[in-house]
Amino acid sequence: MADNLPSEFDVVVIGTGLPESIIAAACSRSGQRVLHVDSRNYYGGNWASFSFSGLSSWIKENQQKTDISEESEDWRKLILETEEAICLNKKDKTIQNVEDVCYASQDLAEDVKEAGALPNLPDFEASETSEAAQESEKECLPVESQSLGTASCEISSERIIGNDPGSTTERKDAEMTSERENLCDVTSDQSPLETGKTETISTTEAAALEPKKITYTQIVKEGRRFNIDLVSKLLYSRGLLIDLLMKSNVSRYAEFKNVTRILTFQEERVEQVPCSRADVFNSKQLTMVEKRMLMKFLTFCLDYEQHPDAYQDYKEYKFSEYLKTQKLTAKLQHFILHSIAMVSAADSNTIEGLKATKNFLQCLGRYGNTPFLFPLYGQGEIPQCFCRMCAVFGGIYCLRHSVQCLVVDKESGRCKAIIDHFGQRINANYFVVEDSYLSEETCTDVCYRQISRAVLITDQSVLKTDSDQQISILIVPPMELGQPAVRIIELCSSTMTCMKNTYLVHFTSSSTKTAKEDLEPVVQKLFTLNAETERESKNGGLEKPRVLWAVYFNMRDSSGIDRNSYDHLPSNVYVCSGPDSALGNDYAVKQAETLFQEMFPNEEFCPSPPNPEDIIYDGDGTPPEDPRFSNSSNMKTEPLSEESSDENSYKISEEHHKE
Amino acid sequence: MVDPSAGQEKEESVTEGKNESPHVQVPFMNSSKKVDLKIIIIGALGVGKTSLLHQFVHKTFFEDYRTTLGASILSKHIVIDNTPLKLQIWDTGGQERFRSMVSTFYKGSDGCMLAFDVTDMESFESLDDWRKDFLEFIPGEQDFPMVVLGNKIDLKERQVSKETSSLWCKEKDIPYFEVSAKNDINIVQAFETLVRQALARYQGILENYLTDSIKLTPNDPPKKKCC
Repeated sequence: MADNLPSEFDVVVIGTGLPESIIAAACSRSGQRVLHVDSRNYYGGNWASFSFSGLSSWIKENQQKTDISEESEDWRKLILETEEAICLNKKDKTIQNVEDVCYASQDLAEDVKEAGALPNLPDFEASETSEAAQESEKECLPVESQSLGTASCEISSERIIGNDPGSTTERKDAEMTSERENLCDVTSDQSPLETGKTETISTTEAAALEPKKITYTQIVKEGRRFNIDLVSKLLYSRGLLIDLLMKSNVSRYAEFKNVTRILTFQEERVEQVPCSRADVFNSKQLTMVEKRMLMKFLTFCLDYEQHPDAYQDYKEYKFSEYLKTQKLTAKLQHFILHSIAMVSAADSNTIEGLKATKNFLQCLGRYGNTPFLFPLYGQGEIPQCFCRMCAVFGGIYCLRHSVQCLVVDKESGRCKAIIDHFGQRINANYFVVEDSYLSEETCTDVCYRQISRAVLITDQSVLKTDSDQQISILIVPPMELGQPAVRIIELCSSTMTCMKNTYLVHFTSSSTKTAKEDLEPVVQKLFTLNAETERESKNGGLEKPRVLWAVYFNMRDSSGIDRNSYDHLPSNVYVCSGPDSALGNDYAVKQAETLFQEMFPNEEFCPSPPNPEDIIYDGDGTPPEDPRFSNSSNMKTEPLSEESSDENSYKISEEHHKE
Repeated sequence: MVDPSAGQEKEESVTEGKNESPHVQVPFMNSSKKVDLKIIIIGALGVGKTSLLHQFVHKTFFEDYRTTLGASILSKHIVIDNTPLKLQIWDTGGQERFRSMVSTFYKGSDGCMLAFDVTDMESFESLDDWRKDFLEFIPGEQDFPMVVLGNKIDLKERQVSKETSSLWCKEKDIPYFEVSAKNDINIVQAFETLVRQALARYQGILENYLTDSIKLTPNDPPKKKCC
């Protein structure tokens, strides 16, 4: 396939995460010839989302310690005397400490298969059926398998900066350990059904006996209904990403759901946080006095800049300290700090807190009762939407396409080309590379932080109400001083990210230790882990939801790194970072726009596409040539004709009414 | 489907005050809502996918080969069995060239058109792969609404016989249509057959009531603040 890949482009983008996909789209939109590649067979890199089997493959891949194979160095012959090569990474090292745990019961059925799986699966998913078969083999014995990986593939040039500096040395040792726990329970109620039957037993029969209990088998079978994001974020209804999606019209490629609830964890209970005026009035948790206090404070926050006297004296204070001086009960202070402003109690000052509160309030009501939207099918859709936009404007896409090195001209110090893993040399003027593709040598002086992540499949919401289709965000304040807060996003099945009667629960926090060490304590506070025991009760007698399956992992946070930390990067090579730990996507959008403007200062960033009705057709019916689209090939190009005029006259607004 | 607590909130927020936005919830499914169907068209590079779409939607055809630039989603309003429908037909954007389709393209689709060029045997042989790629993204269904179009029957240098393609389609239980984007042959029939299948399936799915979602429009005016 690489033999018909052109060798000349204006911009080469390596990696399909969010910032680099936005840049690719912006470049293509402004008429640049873009080549966008990714070494993997999926889009998104660390921003990707997976089906259940896809995630299982990803987990395996990241738990294995693979040897760095000695690849042939033939490509070196393509480098001229006047040039030198900057090698790129051979293996991704941004994910560590992956631990998956299955708590759900497993059937004795031999053939645990994903529904609709075709016989010849692509390589990427080939492990799914064999893994599933292995699961059922092991299940007669409770198995706990741990494999301690040795430090073969990572040199600890990464220094983890967590809140607790004392843990750094521990971290280095923990880094290289991959543990795999596999709890297999054979439930007595299911074995009579299973014994003696052939592999053609349908798993639905087993499920029919116990309709409420979801088994691992069922999860695998319904695996394609899961879209599990590696990154857990939300869109602010007034924010850079939403603005960009709408301005560029990329919003057409995606649909969104309202986040329906803001939750908090206080006094060992999960509660709903009232944030809109209606919520406050209707809240049964607040006294009348508290309602007035909260309304007064929030109203002030909405235009706090107009009342500097009210906070000038407290500018040097922490926001948490400032709140204590305001007429607010402890409960209200908790709500505001952790669930509305969502700033760090330990670090954020008064102005930051007020600004964040105002931002939250301004986002209320634009689309729904909370400030947030969530993309249908998951966060992993967003980078892909921008890739599609890039393709639509002429960008060329190649997955499964690794790049060996960047080729730099010795004299000018500029990068001229890349050499891909087929040995093809591709020339370009600008290069955008995602951080994980850069080699260790290049990143020797870079200090990375880490993000601790967990994804759980559960059988009930953390806060059960009449409607089981809620999308909730829950911030759990730090349990100890100096620890980061844990942000939890619970997704119902109508987000199209999990199968019916399950929830997908994402945990995110800055790392101090391994993800499991950082997050499991919080998991245990909110959920029951053992599938077999009676549901534990929290205070107040409510049943805790059950965890069916969980995965923990640490992900590198390459955001906020000074470009100069990277060693010997030519001036026309730009670096995009991976996901950051913030709730919104502002960082990625800002980075994309900044880098784009550095490359093309005279171009507009993702302007709105022209109205097709403005395009004038020649008399003979052929559309005019658009001078912007000059391909290196001699193919004639069709100008922008986005949609039929039908679409323009039809407002896609009946799904959502505006004022 | 209907969320009673949310409905209640909505009413009360109307009576609240001047600064309140009157409508804060996503509207619920009702019988008069126009049905939106997402149709995708897949197949090898150059078989005529964009031409087929343009013929169906615009009744136009361009002789010289153009890579798909700028055209990404075409819409058409049609009425099938007294049901008004809006079809959102997604073109590939050229990403099929190196088999690098974004999964966004496949997700949420209600019907799939597989196209090949009857004068290009390779494009017919690759149908199997295209179909498999597509089914990877569809949760568990083997009889998903699908049709196959053998395009360019107006040309003489045919490589794939009608018997060959019909047989393949029969084995997979997929309706087959011999079409010409140039001469507008059989295209409407192919689309209508697919849309009928898609509509039948759509109406049978409960999830569609739950996935009432928000589609962002660029003309979204800033709302009054709601506090």
